[in-house]
Amino acid sequence: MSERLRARRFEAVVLPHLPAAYNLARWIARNDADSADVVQEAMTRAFRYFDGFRGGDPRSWLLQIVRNTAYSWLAANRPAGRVDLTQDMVDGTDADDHAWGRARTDSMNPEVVLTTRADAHRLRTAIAKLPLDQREVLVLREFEDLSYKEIAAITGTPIGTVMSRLSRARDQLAEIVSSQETGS
Amino acid sequence: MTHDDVRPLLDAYLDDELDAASTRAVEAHVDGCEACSTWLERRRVLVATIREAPLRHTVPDDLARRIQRDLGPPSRRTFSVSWPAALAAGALLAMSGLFVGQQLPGSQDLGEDIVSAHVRATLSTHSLDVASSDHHTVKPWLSAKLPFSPPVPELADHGDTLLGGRLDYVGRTRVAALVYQHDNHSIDVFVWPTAALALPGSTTQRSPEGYHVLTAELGEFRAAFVSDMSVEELAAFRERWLAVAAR
Repeated sequence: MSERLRARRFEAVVLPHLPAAYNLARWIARNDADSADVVQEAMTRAFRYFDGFRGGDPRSWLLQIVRNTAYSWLAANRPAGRVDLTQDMVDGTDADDHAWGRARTDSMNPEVVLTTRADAHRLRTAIAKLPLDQREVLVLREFEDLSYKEIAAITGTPIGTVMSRLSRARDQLAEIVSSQETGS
Repeated sequence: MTHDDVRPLLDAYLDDELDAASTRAVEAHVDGCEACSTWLERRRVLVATIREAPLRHTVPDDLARRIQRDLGPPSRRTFSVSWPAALAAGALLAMSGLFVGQQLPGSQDLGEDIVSAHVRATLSTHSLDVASSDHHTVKPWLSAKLPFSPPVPELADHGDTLLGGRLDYVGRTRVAALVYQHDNHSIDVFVWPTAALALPGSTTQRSPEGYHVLTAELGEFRAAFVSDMSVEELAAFRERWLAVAAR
């Protein structure tokens, strides 16, 4: 395969999954600049390994590379435990959260949990604070709608572990949402 | 199943990840258990809330450019436009009175996106969401999934076989993709409402790998035809497609 054709196929098959790749990297690394570096590096690796990609789901294949790249990057650049969450605290514009809160209020079923702009902010902060192993499983499940089996393959863990990590992550987020509920 | 057996399975039940036997066992318990059914409902709401909230991080503008640079020169530089064919086709179609080929500025990327969508589908195992040569099957299926009801002409008389359809994206716009076979060539026809997306900047484009893109307007819809067949063959296909679609 010519190098140009190879690049073209990579563009057609893998590049459409850039948003998923960035979202995962960003939720793992938790700041913009590092995440962009991780994804750029991961795409370079993916392109290098592209000949080894034989069908299957290109998104899962790419996400596995992104995850591995992010973990290597964290190990090399960020001493354990030192995490700056400042960006996540202020991340997501007020306008986004506001619009969403309003849309939720307009279409709201009164029996359904009341979700407001403040909740979007709380959820974002709460997800950022989850332990990494739970956080990545939650992101892959809720934002990428991947099956337990696919998540197990990407994270290199047994399906039972995926299941329990996801449950624990949701338990913690449930507390956030319900404490908001009783507080209002 | 007891309460303690069921509780650890409820998330997997909610995610439709249990086997049939476990699903039945969980349902048998939950039906009679107020605490579990309340828990399940609250959980369902929580998951919907997380999924709907604006929590996805969007790709920074310069990242895509950095990656493109790593991959080498952008392929669209080699994307050539064959004007004589475009003009001839435009004249022909204008005479036919069915539609007028239109040229809009700044939309060459759209030709790229159309070829990419076609290549993506032909390279993957996922080229059809609904496999049927009957437009009575394909059209309702697409209409149910899309906010519009695309024309789905059957062209079997001319050796063009309708293979089915799928949902696809051109750029970020959701489109209907109709898949046809003619001899050894696979043809994708992307259809979308006129208001949703501008047409490519020219009516004929050719990509480096030899894919051709032709476009057309039909009433409230626009269509793009892409295939690896010759541009003359593809133009002839487009004529046949439009003739049946306009009926």
